[in-house]
Amino acid sequence: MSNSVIMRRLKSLEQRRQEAATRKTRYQTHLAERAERLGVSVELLAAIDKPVAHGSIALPLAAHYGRDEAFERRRGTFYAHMAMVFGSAGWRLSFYDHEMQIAAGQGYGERDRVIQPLDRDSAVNLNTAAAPLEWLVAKGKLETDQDEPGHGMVRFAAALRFRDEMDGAQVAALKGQAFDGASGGGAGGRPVSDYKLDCMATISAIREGMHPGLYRLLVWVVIDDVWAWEKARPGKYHRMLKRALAKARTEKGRDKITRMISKQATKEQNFVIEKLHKAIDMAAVTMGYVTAEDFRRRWLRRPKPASVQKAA
Amino acid sequence: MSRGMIFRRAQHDESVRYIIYVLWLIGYSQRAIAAVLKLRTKQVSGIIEGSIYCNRAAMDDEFRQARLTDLEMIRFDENGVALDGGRLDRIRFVIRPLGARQGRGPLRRKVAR
Repeated sequence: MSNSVIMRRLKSLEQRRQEAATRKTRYQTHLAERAERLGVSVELLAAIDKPVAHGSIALPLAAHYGRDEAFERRRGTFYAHMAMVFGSAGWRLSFYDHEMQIAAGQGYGERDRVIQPLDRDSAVNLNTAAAPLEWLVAKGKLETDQDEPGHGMVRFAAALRFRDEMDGAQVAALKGQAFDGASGGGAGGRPVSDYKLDCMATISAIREGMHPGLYRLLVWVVIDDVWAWEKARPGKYHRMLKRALAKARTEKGRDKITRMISKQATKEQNFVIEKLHKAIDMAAVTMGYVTAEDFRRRWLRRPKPASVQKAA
Repeated sequence: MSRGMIFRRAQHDESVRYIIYVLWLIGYSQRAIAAVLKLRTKQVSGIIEGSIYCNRAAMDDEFRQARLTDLEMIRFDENGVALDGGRLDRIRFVIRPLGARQGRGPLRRKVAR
């Protein structure tokens, strides 16, 4: 009739569905027959039949933690069956839980680990609470709505570059002992490498270009892994609220003040983080990641004089 | 023009009919669909009445969603050309709940208060 193409396609869709259903029923009957003949369970046989597409690829351990529960159960059941057949003792069925327990403990600096990918593009699960800079990236706090979209990644790249520069500018790089040479020789100092000189020049330029406080913050967070926004002393208003909390009598009042305190704490934390953004951007200008014009537009906005505003 | 016609004839394009079916199953009114496609309401009404989706009010949500999913699955041919010519690219194939007056029920309930 009139619905030629649409109706034809709907009909063939229905046919394909029926064929798939028939195929599934036939496979299950076949599986049950085989299982009965071999004397094993249907689930085990189905698990054996399942093609393993990733068999030849070596994955990092973190990738194994991320598997779905159904897969782990199937795998665990399979190994448990094998252990039963070959008589190996002490096979743990719930090893997945065990691994996750270990992973979720305390990490570097006695902070709880947060195991997750660093961003949407990264394939590996990491402890994102290992260092403040990585934590900022994972939480999406390296970028605000004041910035251009994607500027957070520029900041992250610039901060990593700053780390490299600082590493290259160290007084002495890590070296092993030289056992082959004769001892006690007075050969004189080794020449300083060009790379080290370049790094030192870059660091000096970055340092000269910004306020010493900002530079200190940058080094704290990016190099020394200091959680600067947690170190900061609570502000005057914050402290006043804390005092008020101690004096509050009703449950309702305490709740309200607690909420106000947490809001104020977030505000103060964001204040420090914004200073860090500025510091990283300044370093990024020196290292050529951001143009001076962009930096000026973001950070040095000043209202125009009243006379100009009136004219416009 | 079509006064002397005895047989129903496919006057409308396949793509137009497909778009009407999809929007209808999603839950839009005939009038809204007509406004989108720049047709008269009566034209849209005729296309829907002549199709297998005419009795929308009698479908429950699950059934309606299943029919809509069917339409989504047949949308592309082997060459990747969409039946609607890409006009439904930004439409989610998810049904909307029907309004109180769109459902099936006694006439009294349908009268606006």
